[in-house]
Amino acid sequence: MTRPGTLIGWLLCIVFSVSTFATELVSPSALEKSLSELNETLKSDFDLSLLPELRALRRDAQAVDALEIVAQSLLLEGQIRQQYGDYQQSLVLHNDALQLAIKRKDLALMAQSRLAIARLEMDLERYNYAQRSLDDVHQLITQLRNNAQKSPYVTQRLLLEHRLWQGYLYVLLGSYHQAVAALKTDDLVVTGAPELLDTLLLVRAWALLKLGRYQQAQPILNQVAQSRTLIRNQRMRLRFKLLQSMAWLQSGDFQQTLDTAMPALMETFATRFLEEQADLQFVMSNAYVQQGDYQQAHVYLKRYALTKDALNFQKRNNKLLQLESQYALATQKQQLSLLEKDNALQAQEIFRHQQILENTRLAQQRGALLLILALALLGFLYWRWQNKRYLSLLEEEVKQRTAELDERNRQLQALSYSDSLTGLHNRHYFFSEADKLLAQAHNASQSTIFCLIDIDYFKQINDGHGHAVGDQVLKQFAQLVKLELREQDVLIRWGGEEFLLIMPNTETPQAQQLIERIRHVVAQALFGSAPQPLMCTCSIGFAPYPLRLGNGQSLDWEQVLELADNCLYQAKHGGRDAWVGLNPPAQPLAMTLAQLQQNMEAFTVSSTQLAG
Amino acid sequence: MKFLVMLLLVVSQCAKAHNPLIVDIISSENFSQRYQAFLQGRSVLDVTDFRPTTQGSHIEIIEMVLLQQALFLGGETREVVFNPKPSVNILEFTDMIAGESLILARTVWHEDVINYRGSVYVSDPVVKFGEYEAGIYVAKRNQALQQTTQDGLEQLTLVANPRWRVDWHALTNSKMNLVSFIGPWESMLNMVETDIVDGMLVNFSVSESLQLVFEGRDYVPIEGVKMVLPDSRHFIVSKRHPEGAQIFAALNRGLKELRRRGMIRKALTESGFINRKVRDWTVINRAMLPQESRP
Repeated sequence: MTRPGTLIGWLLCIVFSVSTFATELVSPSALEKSLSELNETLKSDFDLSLLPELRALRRDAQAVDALEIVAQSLLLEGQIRQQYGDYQQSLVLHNDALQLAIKRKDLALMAQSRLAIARLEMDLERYNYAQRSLDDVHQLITQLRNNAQKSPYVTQRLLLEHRLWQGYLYVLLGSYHQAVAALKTDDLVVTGAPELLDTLLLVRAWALLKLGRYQQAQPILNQVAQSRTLIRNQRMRLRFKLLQSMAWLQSGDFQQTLDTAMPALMETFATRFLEEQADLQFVMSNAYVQQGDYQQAHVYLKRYALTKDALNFQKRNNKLLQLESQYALATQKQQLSLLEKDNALQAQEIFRHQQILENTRLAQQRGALLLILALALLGFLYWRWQNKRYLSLLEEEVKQRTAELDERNRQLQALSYSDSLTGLHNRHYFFSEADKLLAQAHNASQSTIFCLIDIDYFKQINDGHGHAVGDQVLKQFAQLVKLELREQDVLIRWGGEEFLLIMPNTETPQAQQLIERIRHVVAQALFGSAPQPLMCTCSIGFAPYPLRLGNGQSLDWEQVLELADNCLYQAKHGGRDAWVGLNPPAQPLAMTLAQLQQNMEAFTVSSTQLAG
Repeated sequence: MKFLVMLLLVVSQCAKAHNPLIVDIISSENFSQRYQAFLQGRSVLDVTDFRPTTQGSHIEIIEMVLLQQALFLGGETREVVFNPKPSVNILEFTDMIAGESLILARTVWHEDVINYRGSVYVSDPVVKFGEYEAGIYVAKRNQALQQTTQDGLEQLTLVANPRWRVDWHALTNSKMNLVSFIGPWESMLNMVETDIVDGMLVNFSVSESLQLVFEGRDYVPIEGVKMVLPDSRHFIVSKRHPEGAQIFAALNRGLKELRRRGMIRKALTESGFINRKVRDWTVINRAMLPQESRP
């Protein structure tokens, strides 16, 4: 059931669209034809009833994008509006046409539009503007002449039209000689525009009559009288009759004047051609007055005055409206420009404010940045200060600790280098200081004496009296010996009850004396505590350092010490409370250490020897 | 017979002397006093020196002299008597058309009489088309305006009376702006004086400096430019008057003779109407002149 329905629908659609297509596609040539028909009809009598047709034509032309026809229709409507006093809208339409022409770069159309504008300006009595437009037209025509593409016919026709309206303008301006000179047709061949040619001839006749040259005007009028234009175009007919009556008037044929003017005047009633009406009435009044018919002259003069008054009234109102609209436009523009200025000022103000804000923001940012920088600097400085302080504290602490450590080390060293019981240096001290001590000895011209002192029978004291007494004896012994020593001498507790005495810069005899004094002092002294004092002796062995052997060998301090020990042993062995020292000859001994040790006695001195 | 002829001539002369030629003149123009002042006791027919004896343009006096000389030269030897009439009547040409007035002592613009050519005879021009020149007068104190260049003219605004059609036509054919004013000439000068307008069109003054003095105020023309009043001036004679044809014939004959002798030109030039001082000045509305008479 649906299929046939759909099919019918489709068919209808197609038929409808085809018919629509057919109506839409009016060919440009058809449009042009109807335009020229309308043009003819409208120009002969600006019949307002044709206006809808003209607008429909424009719509059609717009639909097919026939811009030239659109422009022409705009010009036509503009002319109609102009005829009916709507100058403002007329100007708009003419300008629209001009814009279209400019858009299309159509010189001929531009010239036509400009001509239409010039005519409008003439109606508005804005002769300067009209002249400017006509000058433009002339320029366009010159361009057209140089442009081979356009047919010469169009150019000739435009030239004729330009001459017509230029001449017309001269007449309006009262420059009649110029008008007569401009309104020439001799050099132009324009066929197919009889109306244009007749209009031009009539304007020429008019200019001549303005100069009072009716004799020259008459042949022109005779020429126009033959034209069919006068049958078609009512206004031209009226103008012709007016000019003819003027010519009669000037020639003094008053009756002919009246005979020509009267029917023309009758024809003007119920038309809008008030200008011709007024002029005819004026001519007739002049004819009557010159005929001596003052009554009629008065009647027509009065009618003339009334018509002129009405005409002026209409013109003035239209111009007034035009002026008002211009004024309104100007005021509007002024207000607009004021607003624009105001806006510009406000925009400027806003911009200024924005700038101030921006500047403030930037200043704030800068300030904040500076503050941050300052704070950072302050922080940094504080950090530096704190750091420094902390470092200095640390340094101080380190210094303190180092000092403490040094002190401890020193104490430790002191402790490690000294004997806690006697307060003397211990053998560690000697070992660490031996090189320093012996370097001096090595350099010195005198020798250093290594002297080993051992308390005799100390074991017995310890055993017999206890270690405390032993210790006391050791202490007292050390102090006793120290009292005998010189400033440069160093006493070291060598271990147990054995002491090492180093006597720098000491020759053996000198040493012998000192050692002897020590032995003696010790032997004389009382040790221990008061109730049970003890007597002690000591044995001493010594050897000088350096000691050179024959092979050029120099004995080291350990070997020298060993020799001293050998000497001590001899002293012990000799009965104790004695001393034995090696006293080698001045020249080096031609023997080895072992040989020396074996032949020690040959080179020793002892307390017993001295005593003996 | 010869005696008889002589007698007749004398009688006819006497009769003519008793039947003076009445020439209408505008009563408002204080012609009599100025006319006598100009003549300074000379016989009007003997006047060949037209140099002014008073300040200001006095074309109307020159025209009165030329009219009489032309009539005489044309054969009209009767004494001329001027008949003052109110200007309203004269300018309507009603009396002239009706034949009640024979002739006017003043020339008229051609444009004003073209519609009455059937009723009045129009003489050969006394002032030919293009001969009538005028300057654009501005207040003397306005130094800048006096030096206006031709390009600067567009900026000017002049006052003009549209009823003076020839002046109006001249000015509308320039690029200057116009204020249309219908009223006394003195008011127009006041408009210039009070800077309502920049200037106005005035005949060149005959004074040495071209300066126009009115009521103690000075006006001077814009230097270097002048305007042509685009029309010719003619005497008119009534066609309907019984003596019209005869008088017109005599007048035109005489004018032709005067023109031939160069007397008209001399009169216009010497009187200062055609001002030698502005001979080389540029005519603003030159285009209005007929092509053949353009300089």
